[in-house]
Amino acid sequence: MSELDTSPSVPTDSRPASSPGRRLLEEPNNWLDAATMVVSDRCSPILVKESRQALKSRQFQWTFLALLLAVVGWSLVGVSNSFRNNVEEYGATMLVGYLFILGFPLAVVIPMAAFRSLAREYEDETIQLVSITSMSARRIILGKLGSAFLQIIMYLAAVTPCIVFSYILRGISFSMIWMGLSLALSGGLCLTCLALAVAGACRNVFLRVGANLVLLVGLLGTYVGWISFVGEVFTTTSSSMEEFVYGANTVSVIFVSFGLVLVEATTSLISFYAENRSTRLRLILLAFPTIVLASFAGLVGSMVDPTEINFYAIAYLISAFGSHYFTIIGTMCSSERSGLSNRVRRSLPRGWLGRAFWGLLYPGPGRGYLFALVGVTACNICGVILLGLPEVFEGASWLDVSMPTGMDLIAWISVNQIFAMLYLSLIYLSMLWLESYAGAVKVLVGLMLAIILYVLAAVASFTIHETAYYSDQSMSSAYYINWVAMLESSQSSRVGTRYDFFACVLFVGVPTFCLTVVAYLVAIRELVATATSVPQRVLEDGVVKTKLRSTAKGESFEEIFQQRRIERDGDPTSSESND
Amino acid sequence: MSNTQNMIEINRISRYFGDTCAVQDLSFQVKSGEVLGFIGPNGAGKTTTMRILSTLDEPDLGDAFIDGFSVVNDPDRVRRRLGFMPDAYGAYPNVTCLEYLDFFARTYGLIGRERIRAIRRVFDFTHMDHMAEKPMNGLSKGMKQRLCLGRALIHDPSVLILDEPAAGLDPRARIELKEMISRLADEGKSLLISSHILSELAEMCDRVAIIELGRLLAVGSVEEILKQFTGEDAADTDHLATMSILPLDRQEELKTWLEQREGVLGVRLVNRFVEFGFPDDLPLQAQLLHDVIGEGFLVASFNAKQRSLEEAFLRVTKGVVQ
Repeated sequence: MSELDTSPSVPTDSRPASSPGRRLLEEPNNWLDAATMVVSDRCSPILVKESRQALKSRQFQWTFLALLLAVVGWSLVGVSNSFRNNVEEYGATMLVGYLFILGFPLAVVIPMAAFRSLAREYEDETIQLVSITSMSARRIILGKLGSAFLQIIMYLAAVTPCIVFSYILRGISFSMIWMGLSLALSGGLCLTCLALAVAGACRNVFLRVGANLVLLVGLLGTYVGWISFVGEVFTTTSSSMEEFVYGANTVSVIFVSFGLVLVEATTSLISFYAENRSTRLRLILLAFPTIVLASFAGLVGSMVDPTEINFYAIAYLISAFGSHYFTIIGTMCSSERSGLSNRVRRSLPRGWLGRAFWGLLYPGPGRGYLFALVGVTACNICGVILLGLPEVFEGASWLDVSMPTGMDLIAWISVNQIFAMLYLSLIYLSMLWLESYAGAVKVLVGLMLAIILYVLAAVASFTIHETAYYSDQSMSSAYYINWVAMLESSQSSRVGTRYDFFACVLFVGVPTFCLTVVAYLVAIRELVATATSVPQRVLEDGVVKTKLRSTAKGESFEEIFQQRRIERDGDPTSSESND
Repeated sequence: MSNTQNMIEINRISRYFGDTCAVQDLSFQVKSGEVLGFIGPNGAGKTTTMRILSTLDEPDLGDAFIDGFSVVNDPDRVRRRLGFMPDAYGAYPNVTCLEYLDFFARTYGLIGRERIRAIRRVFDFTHMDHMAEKPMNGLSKGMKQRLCLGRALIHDPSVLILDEPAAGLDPRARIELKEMISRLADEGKSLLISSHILSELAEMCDRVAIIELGRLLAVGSVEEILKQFTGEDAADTDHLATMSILPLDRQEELKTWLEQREGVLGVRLVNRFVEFGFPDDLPLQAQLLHDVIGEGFLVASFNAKQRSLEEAFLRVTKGVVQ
């Protein structure tokens, strides 16, 4: 080191060495500190940092104070009202007020804070500092979500005594409280996940400003919807409300599972391109409709007499929901960038069977297209199987075979399959062309293209119908390109004879089939990619460690450097002693 | 690991942003314990290259390696070995210096006592212990820069990439930063540093790489680059002189006269000046001036300066911005 005085030119800190902030630099000297350190070590670094930030931020302090004042104020107003009006069971009204108050931070403040938190990482360019650490993108997002969840718990803790108070006032059941809180919590979490996804998708400053406004308006709208829902349900229904509780549980499960989808999508958005951003997301995308349908099945099962279960209705639901769902996600999957990074190729299944099936979950537009195509087809096959179930169980008393006509359901499924294939193939081929023309495209471009196609088909069919046909003819060949209209016509007597309907299906179906064959042949080439060997340097490094263990043992860099010098050049003192 | 191993290896990388080619077919290496200065005009592609090396961006063609690991295919392994200090500070609101370092230590998986020791080491190295509880946003630019260097060092990486570390610093802070970088280099860390302050970079770096329009123009020591771009003779002289005489039409005559003189090399006409190199020898310089005047040339101006990285930079680059 030179003799130059490099001592800092700033005044030294006059605070005592043992002030709270410096405790981070002190090794734990009692079991409580040690336990706290162990717990904090297990938490996400983002969660620790954001919690520290949030507790010091004015936004949290003011919101928390406002919430406390609001619940205390509402308690005083509510109690005085109940005494003045001599109402004995005032609990429901009190609970509604508390849910109104709790809803605002959960539906607006926390999601907006989560959005700003991630957006600010991009604005301040801190995201690049975090991205080059050992933390995965998933851990970053889960840390942000954990921080939001911690705030939710704190707000909830502030309102809990008041909710207990409203229970004491009578007029509400435990189920009502459970329903309100589960919806509020799951909804708040889902909205937070949505806000994080929006922030992850909007990297551009203009997009971010626009998204900020749209999100704020959307969240405020959601809060208004929450107020309406709570006001309607809790004040007008009976205190038992079992059916609502089942419904609320179902909705909560859907909220949470959709939140998981959004978390995974956000993770993919902010991950480094060479990482496998698709497999986990696609697995969750597969699980989501299963969870939704199972939740609905559970809801129906709990509310409807088993003898009244309508398998045809379930088949309709699976076909329609599955086809639209996989078309939407398929448009995004098939907009992924072409080519696999070497890193992903290393993890590809080795056998052809594994590549053919498990390979569909790997990144790439072709795989994404095939994944969605398989999803649509699977849903429609499920519909057909459900169609056959009455035949299988023919004679069973709880099935009414004669109720819906099988041909209606086949028409319904055919329309869904054909239009899903049409949109998927069209968008997949368009994206390939776009990528070859303009380079890498964003996944949202595929979704936008799908929406444009949907709208164009609807507008074009309506316009052609209105200009070319007389208005008294409700269905015309112009509607052959309109998915929704065709679904409606497949179930409607307006289509005229069955012959006409199948002519429509044929009109769209044949070109769709040809397009699908072309797209399939292009996409299938991606599955040919084989696994590559792991480089020697990676093998030497061993298994990837998610946690870095520093080899440094010294207290200062000088000591570490000294150790390394000894390792490199040998210990000079030992040579001297040998001499 | 041997000392001659390439800790940073850039292998024909190219990066395009639409029609603009930010980096084109760039290749160079940095060995273990070596400091490489990375210089070029604004928009030359320095930051893009550094971002690719730091796994923040990806090359369209080619690959780069840190300690033998591909930045494209093994970014997680690269990140464990790399400390990156970008030109932006990346400050968090409501966070003290200690919390800032604590956060980044956690992100690198340092836990418990290991984390405490790592933070202490960094505070000790950067002389920032007294600032531990100061809010990060209240720090001066120099202090922020130190803290950011500390952040890049928190996991004790073997490779450091510093993008404009001295930009905007006052002279004292600059000297302090240079001291810290020198200490790191002395102890075997490989450093890639970009800077516009070429004189300081020349003192710190073992070699320099000059880049313009995304292309590598030269790489080597300052002497090697001068040799490459001014001819072998000129590189043997460590001073560069410019002389103007009156009348101007005798310039060619002076050039011829100087070329015949011992110790004077690389004579050429630049605008209204005669430029030539000669050794760092004051008596020789005085004698030269005396002889020029004695030959009847009317010397209007004479300027001699040591050859520098600036000269190499100006000779190599054209100042073209894309």
